[in-house]
Amino acid sequence: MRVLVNIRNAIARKLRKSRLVRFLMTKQSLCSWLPIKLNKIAASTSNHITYYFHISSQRLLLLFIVGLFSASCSIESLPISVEPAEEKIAVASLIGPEETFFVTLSRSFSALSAEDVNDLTNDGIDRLLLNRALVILEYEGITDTLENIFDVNGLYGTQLEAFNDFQFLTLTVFDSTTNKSISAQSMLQPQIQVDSITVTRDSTRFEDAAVLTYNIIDRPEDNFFVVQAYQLTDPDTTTADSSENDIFFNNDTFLIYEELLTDRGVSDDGIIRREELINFSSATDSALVVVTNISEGYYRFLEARRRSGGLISSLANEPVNHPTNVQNGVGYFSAHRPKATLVVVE
Amino acid sequence: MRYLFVIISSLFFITQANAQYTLSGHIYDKSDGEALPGAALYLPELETGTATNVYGFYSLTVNQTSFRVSVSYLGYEPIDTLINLNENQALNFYLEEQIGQLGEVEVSATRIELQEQVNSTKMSSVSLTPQEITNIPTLAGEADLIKVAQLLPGVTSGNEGTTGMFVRGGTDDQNLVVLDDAVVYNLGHLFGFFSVFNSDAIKDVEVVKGGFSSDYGGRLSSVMDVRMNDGSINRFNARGGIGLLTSRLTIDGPVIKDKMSFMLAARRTYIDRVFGLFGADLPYYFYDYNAKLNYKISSNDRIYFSSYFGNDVLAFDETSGDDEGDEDLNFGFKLGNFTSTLRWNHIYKNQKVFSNVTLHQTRFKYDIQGDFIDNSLLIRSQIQDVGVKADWQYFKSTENKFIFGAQTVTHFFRPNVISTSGDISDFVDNREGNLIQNTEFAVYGGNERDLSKALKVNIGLRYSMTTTEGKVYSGPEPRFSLRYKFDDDNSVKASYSLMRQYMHRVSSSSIALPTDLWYPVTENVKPQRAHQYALGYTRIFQKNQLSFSVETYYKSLKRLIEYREGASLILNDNFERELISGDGEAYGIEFLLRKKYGAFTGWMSYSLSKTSRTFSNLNDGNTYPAKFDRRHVATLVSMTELNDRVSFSAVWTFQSGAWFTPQTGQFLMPNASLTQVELIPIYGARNSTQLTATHRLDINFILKPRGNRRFGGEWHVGAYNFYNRAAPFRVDIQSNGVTQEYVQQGLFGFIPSIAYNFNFSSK
Repeated sequence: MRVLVNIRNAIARKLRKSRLVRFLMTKQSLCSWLPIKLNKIAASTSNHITYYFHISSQRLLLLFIVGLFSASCSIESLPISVEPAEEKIAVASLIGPEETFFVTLSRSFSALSAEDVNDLTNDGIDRLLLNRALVILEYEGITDTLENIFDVNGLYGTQLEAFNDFQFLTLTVFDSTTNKSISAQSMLQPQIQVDSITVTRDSTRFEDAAVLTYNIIDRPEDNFFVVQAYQLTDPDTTTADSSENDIFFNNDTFLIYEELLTDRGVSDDGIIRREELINFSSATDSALVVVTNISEGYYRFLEARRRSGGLISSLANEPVNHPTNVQNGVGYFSAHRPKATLVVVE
Repeated sequence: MRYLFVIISSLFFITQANAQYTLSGHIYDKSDGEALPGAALYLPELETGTATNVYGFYSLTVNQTSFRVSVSYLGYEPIDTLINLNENQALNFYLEEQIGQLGEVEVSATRIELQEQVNSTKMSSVSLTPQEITNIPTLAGEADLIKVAQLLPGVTSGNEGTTGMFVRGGTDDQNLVVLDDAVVYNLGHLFGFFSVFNSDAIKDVEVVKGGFSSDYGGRLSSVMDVRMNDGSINRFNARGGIGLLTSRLTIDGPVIKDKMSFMLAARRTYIDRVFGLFGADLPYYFYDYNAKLNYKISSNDRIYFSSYFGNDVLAFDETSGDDEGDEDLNFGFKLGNFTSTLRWNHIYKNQKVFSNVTLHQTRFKYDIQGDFIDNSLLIRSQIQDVGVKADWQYFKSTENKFIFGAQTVTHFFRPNVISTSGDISDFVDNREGNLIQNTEFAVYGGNERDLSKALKVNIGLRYSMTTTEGKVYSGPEPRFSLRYKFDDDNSVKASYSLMRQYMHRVSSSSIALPTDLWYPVTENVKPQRAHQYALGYTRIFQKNQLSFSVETYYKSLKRLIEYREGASLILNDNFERELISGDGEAYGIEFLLRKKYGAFTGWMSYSLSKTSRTFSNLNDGNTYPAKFDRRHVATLVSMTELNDRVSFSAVWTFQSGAWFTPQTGQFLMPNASLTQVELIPIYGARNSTQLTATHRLDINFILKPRGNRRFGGEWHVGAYNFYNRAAPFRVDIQSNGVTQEYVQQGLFGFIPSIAYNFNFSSK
């Protein structure tokens, strides 16, 4: 990754001085004055133009040529009315440490909302989170009402009393502020077993290069995984007593790697082996690797999220609507259990 | 195969053998010896006639030994002569270019051409002349064949200014565009804003939207058959033009007088040079060359060699001053077509059979390369075709004609070859790219015959197949058209055609990019096919030299190819996983009123149509409108000779808006570990929002300074989008300072243009 960052920075430095940028800046400056004058051209005779600019015929010809590229700058865009999406409850969930089931709830909002929301400021996010919802989880004949926990807006949780892999959990939410309700069902995914995980620095590749190697023990059924690696942004919070889950939830992590995997084509011994080059620039000697066994539906959701990201996708590709299993809502209700492993970087 | 054999055999056996003598030959331009395709021969006493084929050849077999024949061609003085036949006779006609307004004789000649529109079974096709292509105003004043074709009813354009063509609900990759029988894969220069065809090198163009003849195949929706000039066989000519974006020069003349001629045409942009004058460097340019040689081996044999070569080039070369070159940056691309064709025309001894054998190759390739700090990256994709086609035309009598032939073409696909060096190779793997080879083969035959004075039918059958990765796809493609003539001025026509397409263009983008890949059918990706039914009425107004047609059509498209939502095809050599299959439907009605003759020419057209798509994996399986489903399209094209030295042309177009999938909402979504939050967009149903209708006026004045017989020139002064109206192509969300709002962005405003065209002849 580091080499890509180096390349990107060097390109940026270069482009600041480059002819391309100088060209664009020239075009920009032309656009700032040409439309006015080109409008005059449109309404004038050629004699008038000559008089107005006091320029030679060669210059006039060049002006026409520049006009070709610049006149479009003056075109005015047209308004259009688009039916806004109906406001819905958005759901995300997981099973965290201590068998705690977490659900986050927010409300969807218009594409025309204020900028601070689009920029994900804390105030903007807080306005969207739902704090007064009635959240009910049903599983194994148990009906549990989730409480707002950790004083975090929009975050609800409960400790599961008993659960078994592949059982179904049903979520029902009623929000009095929006007067909306949703329901969703998800099958509890078994936690995946990891055979080994190592992170090894390899400065021969580039300055902060490291190799992440992990082997996942596959299960018999068709499985889907998300693997994430974090570097710790605040090494002081990591102590010898810190558990993986403590670190995982203390928000002092920075995502450096995420991969979606399936067990298609897994080797005969049932081990999924991957070796990835990552950019590990943390001052700490620890990395956190989280492996999660997820449902195919949630995998498709995450895949859609990945595919719709990026500059090229957003500019050129057809839009991607994310699948959902939430009735009357958006997002994805998933009962997955991340497996976090703290790894000493060699 | 057996269907084809049975039908062709039957057609031969049921044919009456009562013809006596055959008059045959070519019709040429007298001044330069260019063959004239589509020229009309009419035998008034027999009330019958024919037209020359694309090589200017005709053959008339009649029962009488003495008769008058009128020979005519648009823009030429007609010939009216008495023929006496006591044996088969070869006779060439040489027409002189018409100077000035139409006289009485010329008016009668145009009537013959007009009546051919009533008489012919051909429907859903329009021919365009180089003069129309040159005079109709277009973006930046650059004469552009594709932009003119977009003005025809049933042809809708894509985004403004681009060369995309969507014919009767088809997609852009369902158009078979051939230049002298070689397929042209990439139609656009400058990211599709200008076509690859140099108008000076073009002799004639035919656009076929339906009622396809059996010799056409391989695409579902249309055929654009472009023919290059042969080159004068008896004098040297030069013509060219200097425009805002390009200059071009074409020369042609005899290599061996009356035996062999050549034509060379070249065109290049100087965008890079123009911006250089202002101190701003844009290292982009495009160029193309057309070349043609033709040689008359004998009166019955002729060979042609033609070639096209063109590239778009972008080459940024930033060299830092330091000795180590640590920050040198080079980036660029090069993409283009290369086609070549070798053809042999032969006229058999009985003067009734004309054959053409074509060897052709075409290649489209793009390279994207970059070098930076000891890293290099090259991405290459290529498609190359090598093929042979043999056609026979049998002119049994004026009432009975056959065509038959066979063709085969082998495609070599090599998509996404990636070569890297340096640190970047740790992240981007080198790939040779899979070489995929498939071969298409087709045999075809057809018969056009008069069953009575009123009723004429044209039936044909094409049987096509392709082999790919051990899989064989094949099937019959029946073609049928019928004409019923009420009188000399009125007829109704009907047609049916089934088309199959064995390759498609892969693009994950909503906009056509030159880097889109062509990809064949495979074991998993099945061929597309389309059934099209059309019914039309043709009427000519002889007094006003007008032709009018109205056609309605229904088209059913099967196994169309689309891409999964969010499919990423960049650096992806496993396209098949991203491809999904679905169906489409299109229907509509098209009106065309056209005037091809006189001081005022042009056409007026209107089409009302609807196009939809249904894919089980898109839009929840619900049917949605195609992106360029433009409900109403109206066009007014006029070209007026104000006097001997001044002409004026104008184009006004109206189009219903294209369809768009807007973002209507959004929501917050944590990742799988609840450690980060992202904004996830919510979109409306696919293509659920229609952009605002667009209309535009383009104008062009043609000023002809006094010249002489050997040298002539003309100034073209025009304007694109004269009243500066935005043609929306996408929806953005913009802040108006207080709130945010949806706005539709246009691309080109008012753009003035000026160009100078010239021509020179040796004598």
